[in-house]
Amino acid sequence: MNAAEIKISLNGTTAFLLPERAVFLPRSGALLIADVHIGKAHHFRKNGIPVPSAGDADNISRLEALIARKEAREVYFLGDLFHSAPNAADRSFTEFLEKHRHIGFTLILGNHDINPLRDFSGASLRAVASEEKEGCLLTHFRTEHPRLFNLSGHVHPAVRLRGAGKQYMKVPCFRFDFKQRFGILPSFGNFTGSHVITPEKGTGVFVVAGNEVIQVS
Amino acid sequence: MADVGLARARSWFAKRGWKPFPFQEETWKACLSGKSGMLNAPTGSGKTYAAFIGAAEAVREELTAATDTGRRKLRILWITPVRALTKDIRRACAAYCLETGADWTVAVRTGDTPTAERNRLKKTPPEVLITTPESLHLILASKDAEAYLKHVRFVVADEWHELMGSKRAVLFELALSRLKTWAKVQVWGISATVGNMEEATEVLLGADAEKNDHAFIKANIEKKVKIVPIIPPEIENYPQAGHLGTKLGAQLLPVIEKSKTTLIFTNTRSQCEIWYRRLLELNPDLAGLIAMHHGSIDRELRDWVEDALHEERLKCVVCTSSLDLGVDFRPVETIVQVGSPKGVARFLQRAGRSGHSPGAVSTICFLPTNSLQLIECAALRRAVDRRDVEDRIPYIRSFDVLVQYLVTLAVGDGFYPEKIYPEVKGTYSFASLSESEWIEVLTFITKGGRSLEAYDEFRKVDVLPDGLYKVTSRRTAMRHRMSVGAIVSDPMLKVKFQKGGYLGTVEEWFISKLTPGDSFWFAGRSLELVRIREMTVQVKVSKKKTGIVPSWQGGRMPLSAMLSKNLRIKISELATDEAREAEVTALAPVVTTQRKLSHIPKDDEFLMEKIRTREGTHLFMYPFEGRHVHEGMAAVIALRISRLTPISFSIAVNDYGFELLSDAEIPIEAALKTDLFSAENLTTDIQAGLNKTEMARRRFRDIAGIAGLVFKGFPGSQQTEKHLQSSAQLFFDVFRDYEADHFLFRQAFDEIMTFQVEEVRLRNSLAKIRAQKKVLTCPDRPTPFCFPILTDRLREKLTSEKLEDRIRKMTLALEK
Repeated sequence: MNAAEIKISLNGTTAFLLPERAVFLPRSGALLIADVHIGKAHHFRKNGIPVPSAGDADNISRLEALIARKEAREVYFLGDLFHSAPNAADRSFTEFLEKHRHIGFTLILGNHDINPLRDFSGASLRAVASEEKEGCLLTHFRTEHPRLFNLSGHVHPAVRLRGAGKQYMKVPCFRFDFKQRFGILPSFGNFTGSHVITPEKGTGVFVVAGNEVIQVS
Repeated sequence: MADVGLARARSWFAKRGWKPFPFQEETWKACLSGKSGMLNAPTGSGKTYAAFIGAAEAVREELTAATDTGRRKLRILWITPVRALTKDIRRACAAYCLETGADWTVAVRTGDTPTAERNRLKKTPPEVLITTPESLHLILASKDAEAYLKHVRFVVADEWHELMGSKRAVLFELALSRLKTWAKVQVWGISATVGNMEEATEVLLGADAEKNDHAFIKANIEKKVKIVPIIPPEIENYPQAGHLGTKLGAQLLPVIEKSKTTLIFTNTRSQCEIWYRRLLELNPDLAGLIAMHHGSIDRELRDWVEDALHEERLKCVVCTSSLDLGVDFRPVETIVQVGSPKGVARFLQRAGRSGHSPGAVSTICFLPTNSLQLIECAALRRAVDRRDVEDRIPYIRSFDVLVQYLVTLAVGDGFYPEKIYPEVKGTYSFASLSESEWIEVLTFITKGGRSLEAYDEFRKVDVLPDGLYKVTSRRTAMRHRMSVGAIVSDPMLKVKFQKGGYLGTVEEWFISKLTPGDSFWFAGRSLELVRIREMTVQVKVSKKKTGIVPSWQGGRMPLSAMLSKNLRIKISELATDEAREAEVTALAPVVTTQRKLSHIPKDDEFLMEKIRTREGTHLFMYPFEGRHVHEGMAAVIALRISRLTPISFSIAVNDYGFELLSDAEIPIEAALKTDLFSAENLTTDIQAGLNKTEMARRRFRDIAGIAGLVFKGFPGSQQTEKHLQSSAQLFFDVFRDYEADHFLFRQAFDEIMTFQVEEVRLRNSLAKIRAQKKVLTCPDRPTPFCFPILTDRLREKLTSEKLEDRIRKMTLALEK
């Protein structure tokens, strides 16, 4: 285990929280990734808003680096993989899928994935509404389940931290509640923003700080 | 020929029983001789008649000569920064036209003008159009803009001092550059006195104007100003920090009682609400005789207040800068300024709103909101005596506005770059625009800047086969028209009664903190939030007497250099016991405390205070240069100290000084042995300091808005539009990470250097400090000087610690 990662147990399943803002399930070699929003920059550009497009390419290279580092065999996207209607960024993503044919890609559909009929035949991207995996229920929106541990995205959670000397900081986080059995992943995409949440103390907040994941609550 | 016009003007004045002032005659003559120029005249001096009659007669003379009759054509553009002024100007202009036999229409087109009226104006142009810079750009963004505007012969920029210090002046300059190509245009500015009158004229007329061929006319109507301080009876018990001053409310009652009508100027809209409520509590008999006026209140309500002011039906109006400009309210006898006016010009302008009978003295009461502010009163007195009026710094190289303008042209008739480039370069703002920068801007609007990817679908401005730059997408055009302008504000929600009845607007972020059932104060009433539907806040009258007051965000104004200079002199007089003014001698107990705990710096001394509290070490420094300079200096000093040891600071500033607060010990003694105030590497250090704080991020917000990056969405729009919404914050991150050399990104830093940090002022200030004797005291409790800064909650941060190390020392903040 890398010192920067944090090992947790979800209903008995071992999972690692990664500083790349993803969750890794070592038994099946599965990476869980939420809210990539591929093509967001392109969507803006297509509509005449000139934001640099480099971010889209960067998303994919970070994804590739992460897959290589963890030697992942499966990747689950917990919704909002795509930002909007198909656009130029889809092509780079298709190339990425084709390059990694040995990996099983699954998309849990999110509210932004408005076009689930995108054609990825040839490349393997399976689209589902939700998925059961190693005692976990993978969804886009947080969902209660009597038995399974729910992992979801959508929120782009972040917390505000306070230090001595009137210092404040906003950082993206994993937000877990082991009693109520759910966990929300930070957004993976680099042009996605975050939403400040105010969790109750002692429930499980892990912030992403540089190359480390640090538990703050 | 010119004599005909002059005679007509004179006889019209005579008919009304008026005698023209020399400056009016002069302006008429200059206009009739074909000149452009600047009229330096204060509000309410008859400046409208000077410029309008000049314009009208100059145009009439040309029309008779050219026999250019036939269809109606737009001849005169009157640009004003404030919509509220348009009504009175229209009335005055229309009266002159009608009574001198000109069969002209005088019309108003602003953001408030209904679509039907706009269409009518488009079909049948008026001869005279009174409008704002934004509305003028909207005309440029419409079809056949050239046909509509090419007959304009005369342009008047009213209240130019107000426009000039903002990007709206750049909008004006660019629009004018287009008009000048279509016809020979006479341009006149009307401006109150600014420190840099000559530069103001250059900005107005453009870099390409003939230097010596314009008129400069000054109206010598200077009123005497009497400043009356309102001194707290027990200065020891008066708040040391704060910006409300309502504790002095009772002292204000006799002032209101004594004069026919009193205007009370507050600095913010929430102060305005609070003061209104407080005065009614103190004297319930004022009900019906007191009113409130600020920019978020419904226009109709404001109109009612203004009319009531004219008709002497009000004893007192609590207002904000919303009443700074505009026509005179003759019954106003006394002005009250609550808190620091921040600048000499603004103070004079407000004082000038009283005392209108010939030879009358303008009386302005200064009400301090904390004890130390009394020194500012003395500083203002000195500045007013010497007529130390501030410069207005013009915006130059505002690429965000240029981007917007070019898209505006492309949405309208389209444009050919080779035609537009010389025009743009002819403006004051873009005189230094290089060819390569121009190409960068063109690439930005056509290709979205450089794209690193093979498949790019960027679409905004298309280049047609004949080289015409044109927006062909209707959606893009529509989106662009919705965001024309240089004022960026948070989304505003309308406040309405459930049963109908519009009250005004509040910022979205304020309402988002409330839940239905909560009550809040707005427009002087206690309201209960019922629900929020689309862009409307529905309310009903609440019986609760408590409730929060909305605060409208908006920049905190810095103390001007002029006022700072005078303030420093007064502080030094305190140190040497030379001060004689009542407001300063009243401060004696505060001065004694400051002296006992720390020190009062003389002219050749620089004061620093180091205090330890539970929070950590506080280091205060007092350059007395205004908050903007302090922001920059604090960033530089913090950066330089942070090089000695890994340390994190939170930074607070006010107009007198700044604070560096750290959870650890601040090695100031060691830092003072280095060249802490050196000018060496200053620019690099400022840049590095800025990169580590939030300042550039905040500046970029406006730039992103003006350049069309941030799109707020159509009201009630669907999903696909929502997918185009993103915060300026995110854009900042994306540009910083991927295109840090982008011209819009660089502009944020340039603007900070000019307007925020005011680099020149910062340099001078550091040079002064280097020559001063450093006095470092270690008081055992907060001093009167540091207290207002200590309690400030708005803070910057700067750190040289590793993120991971900082986080380990932090805990979860449980409130937002």
